Amino acid sequence: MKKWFIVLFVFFYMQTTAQNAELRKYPLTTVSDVAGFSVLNILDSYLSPLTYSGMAIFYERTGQKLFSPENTSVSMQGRFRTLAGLTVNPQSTASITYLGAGYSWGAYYHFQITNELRLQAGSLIDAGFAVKQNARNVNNPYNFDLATNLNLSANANYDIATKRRTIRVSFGFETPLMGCMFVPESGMSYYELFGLKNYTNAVHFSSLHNKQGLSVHTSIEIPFKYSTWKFGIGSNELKYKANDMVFKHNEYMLLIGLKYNLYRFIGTKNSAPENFISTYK
Amino acid sequence: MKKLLYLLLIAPMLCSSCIDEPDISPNTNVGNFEALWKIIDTKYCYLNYKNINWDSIHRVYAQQVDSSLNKYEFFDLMGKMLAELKDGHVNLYSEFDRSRYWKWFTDYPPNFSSSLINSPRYLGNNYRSVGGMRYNVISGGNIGYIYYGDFSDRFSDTSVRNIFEYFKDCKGLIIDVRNNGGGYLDLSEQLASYFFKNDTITGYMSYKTGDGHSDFSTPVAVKTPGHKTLQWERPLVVLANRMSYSATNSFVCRIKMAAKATVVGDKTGGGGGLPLSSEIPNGWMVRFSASPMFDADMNHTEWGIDPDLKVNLDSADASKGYDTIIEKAIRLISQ
Repeated sequence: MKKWFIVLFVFFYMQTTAQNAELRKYPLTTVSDVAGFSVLNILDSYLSPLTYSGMAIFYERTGQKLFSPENTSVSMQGRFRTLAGLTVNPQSTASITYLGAGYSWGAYYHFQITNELRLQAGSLIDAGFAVKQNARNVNNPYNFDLATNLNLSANANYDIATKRRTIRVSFGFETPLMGCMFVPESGMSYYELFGLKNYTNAVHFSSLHNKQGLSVHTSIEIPFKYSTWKFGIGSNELKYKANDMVFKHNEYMLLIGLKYNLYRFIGTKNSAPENFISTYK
Repeated sequence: MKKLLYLLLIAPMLCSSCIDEPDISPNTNVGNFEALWKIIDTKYCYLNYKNINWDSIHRVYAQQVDSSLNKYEFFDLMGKMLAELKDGHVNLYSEFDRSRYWKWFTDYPPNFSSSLINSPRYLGNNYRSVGGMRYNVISGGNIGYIYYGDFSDRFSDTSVRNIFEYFKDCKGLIIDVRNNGGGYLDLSEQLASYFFKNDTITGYMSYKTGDGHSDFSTPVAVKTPGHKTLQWERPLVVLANRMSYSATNSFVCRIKMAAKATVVGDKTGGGGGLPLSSEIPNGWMVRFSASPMFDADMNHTEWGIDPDLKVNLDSADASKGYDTIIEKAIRLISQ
């Protein structure tokens, strides 16, 4: 009899644990790694009154996950982007080298319109830093793009089911609402700025009155046997004005990338099942 | 919801018209002339100080600009217009030439002979050299002599420490910055710092804040810091001539405030306006003085810094192998 009690206890315990394991949900981070080429146009009135044009390469990693696995309407997103470009003036007598990186983080609310169509709307806080160098210049050879912004963003995903797979078409846009940015006075040299530490009128509040931009992208995601590939086009157009100078940064992109779910097991509470083998012991 | 999204999508497009991009002149002779004239009109810092009527310059040169000028003729004409500014910091750079104004030193005695300073009496053949500084002991080992010919040649504290150590038995030091046409301002500050015990206001600087000829920021103090670990506390003589220009001008301006320093030679060439660059539609670059620098009494330094003791190179001395200016410095230190 005692044996039966033990057997029943173990059976019910395992059953309950198994049910809990089935019910327990883990929010996965969906990562998109994208790289591509851009046609890049830069107007930096501190460096030159002319618009410089050229090519750039970029890499972008976006990670998105639900705040809670119980609520599929709200997600968070982190995005890192870096861009390196070389542009020349219209007569090709001088060049501006561009190196930049930025990180943004924010949240989206999801609207399931139909089975196929889902909209996401939200806002992102971003911080960006870029160096622009016009090596021909004297005492004003560099300028920095240093800015933080609160951006408004929206995406639409539409799933198209075909015989073999479901293809997702995405459209999204993002625009800066407000923030602050670094723009030196046009007549100020970097010796005065950094040598004499004179930062007068170098930091500006930005909003739609002096900074306007629109990033738009359209992409198609095609799942294959072991991976989901992403192809797309996009543009980033940004224009801002401070200290009587106008700045412009336009990018027209061709992108290709991979999209996948990231599994994360960390600590003792979120340790990996035994069948997940890790190099970390 | 749809309306909101639509509004948010088109708002940036509507607002993009709020920021007008600057008008760029066409890439023609007339367009490039107008662009160049405007850059100087709005950004050059000495139009008022030098009493230059830039509008009348426009009238004079506009009559001479037309499409018949080839690129060399047009370049020469624009170079001539820029020379009206009488400023060594103003140059036009094209793919085939650089315009320049050199009267700030060609109209004056050179007061410098490289063959003299390289003679055995001074540097000789066995001088030491580090960070652009050529140095040796002279006057029977009593005086240290450094020739520094370019403020673009970077030196380190370690290099200067070693030079001072080499001169440890000398009564005084001569730093010769004749024919030093300038370079980096931070190096002029660094070199001067070895001769100041405390941070000292040695000048002021301002910059243009608008397109008007008198739109300037409030001048900010330019301090020469006293170097924390490296000090030369014996007499110093700095030698200057008209070709001591730009960053060298700034160095001489600073060093005149040092307690044990004397400036000997000729007035410096000036170049008190920190230059910036811009360009015109044909891709030529223009460099121009943008930020005026002043001495500690708020006098402009554009026309140069007077020496404490004015001495010219004497041809009779030179024929005997003596550099009159160095000899004066030796006597000053030996007194």
